Amino acid sequence: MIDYLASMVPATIAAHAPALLIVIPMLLCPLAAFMPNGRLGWFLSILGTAGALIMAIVLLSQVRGLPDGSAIAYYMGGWGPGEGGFARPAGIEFRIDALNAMVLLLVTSIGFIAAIFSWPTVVAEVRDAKRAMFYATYLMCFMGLLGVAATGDAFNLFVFLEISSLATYVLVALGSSRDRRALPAASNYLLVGTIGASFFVVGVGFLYAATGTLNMDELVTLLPQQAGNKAVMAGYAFIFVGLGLKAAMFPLHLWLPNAYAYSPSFVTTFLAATATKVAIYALIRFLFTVFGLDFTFEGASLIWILMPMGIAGMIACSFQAIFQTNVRRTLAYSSVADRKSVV
Amino acid sequence: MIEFILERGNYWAIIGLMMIGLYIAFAATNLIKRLIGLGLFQTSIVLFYISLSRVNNATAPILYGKDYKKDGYEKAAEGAAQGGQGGDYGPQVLENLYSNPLPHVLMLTAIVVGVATLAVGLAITVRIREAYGTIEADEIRAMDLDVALAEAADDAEETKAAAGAGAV
Repeated sequence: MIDYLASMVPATIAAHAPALLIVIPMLLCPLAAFMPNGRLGWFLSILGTAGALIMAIVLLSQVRGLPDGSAIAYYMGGWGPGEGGFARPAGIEFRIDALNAMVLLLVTSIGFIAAIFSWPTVVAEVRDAKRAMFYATYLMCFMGLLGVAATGDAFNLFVFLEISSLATYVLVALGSSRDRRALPAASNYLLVGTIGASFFVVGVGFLYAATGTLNMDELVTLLPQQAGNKAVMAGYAFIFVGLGLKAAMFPLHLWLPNAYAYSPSFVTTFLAATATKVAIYALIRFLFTVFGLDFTFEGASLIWILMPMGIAGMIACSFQAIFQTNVRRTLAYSSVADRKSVV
Repeated sequence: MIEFILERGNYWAIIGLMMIGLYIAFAATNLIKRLIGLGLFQTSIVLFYISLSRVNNATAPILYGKDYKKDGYEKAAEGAAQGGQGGDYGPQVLENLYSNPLPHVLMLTAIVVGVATLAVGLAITVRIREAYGTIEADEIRAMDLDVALAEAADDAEETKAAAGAGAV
């Protein structure tokens, strides 16, 4: 069925699906910001998420057609091997393989469905004058998450991570019409999230210092040659902590219950399903693909850190969930506990 | 030992700024001061990347002297067509030594991201001032705690009243 749906898209558009995946919501976002009416903003957000969903389906069908382990490599502006004529990737690459395609399908489909059913809750919880901007910010967050999932360049991942995070801080703060505690929750989330992203970029800097490239595919081949390099180990530590802050892994999860409890319902729905999962995807991408299994579990002795943290997180957060009176906070704590089982 | 410390002066500056920025971010109670700490932290990251781009005896990555050609883009494209086939992405042989421009470009992006983060942070701080009347984090926490305790007390009274009505 996916192939049938994908075949309805003309080939010239399907060839550029990775770029259009980002561009369609990105172009509709400022359009939605200038809409006079919240309802028009809602329609534009449905359009943007639907366009991205179609592109994600196209990408899924393209990836299924590839042999095992290979990926769709799309070089922005043609600056890479292939038609570009360069020997190495010179620009930013979007690399879609099986893991990517599933995450993209997840984020786009949840974004689409949440956007369709969002109107009544947005009418109830967000003030009239802000609804168009609310939907514009939602499209920006959606676009940023898709960029994190689709990109194959480490610094580009930071840029998209920050785009989605900034939009998330604004979305959480827009819950202040209902409960003013959303504002300090958004402020704390901003602090923690920016520190996490900055740690990530320091880690990428160490990797760049050790290998000279930012392309994740090249890092896979170049990093094993640097086996004992202290810079690589330091970079690994920074990336792990930075993405752990974004993904709300156990000791670094304290921003999550407040942020999810006081934000508008539509935002909680969308973020709980997607934002932290995309950060975990980025963590998986770095731990397993870029750094490789040997380094992760034997070289860095991560097994002694990840498993105890995961188990502690499950137990501690489940306990805290029992004692909450606010339903949303209970669900937020249990969401953190679930994440521990993923870890 | 002394050379070890002095040679890596810029890295000591990076570590110092990063730690000072982090400390301000989590120890300050005033929300504006927290944002300033965050900015300091991001400045140290910019310094880190620029340190990576340094080449000995090299100058800023702007073509000058013999390397500067009037119609720079066209000549570079010609050079790529003639000499750069299948090679790497440096189409012309340069006379002078330049430092690596890529980290500079990456840090321009990071600075923009930092400015956007500061803007959102300040906007949220303005709204907090409107909603709470203060921008000190401990006073805000105290106010929220009062509200939460009052809510808990109300809930306790409601359940008592419901239980009393049920019993009767």
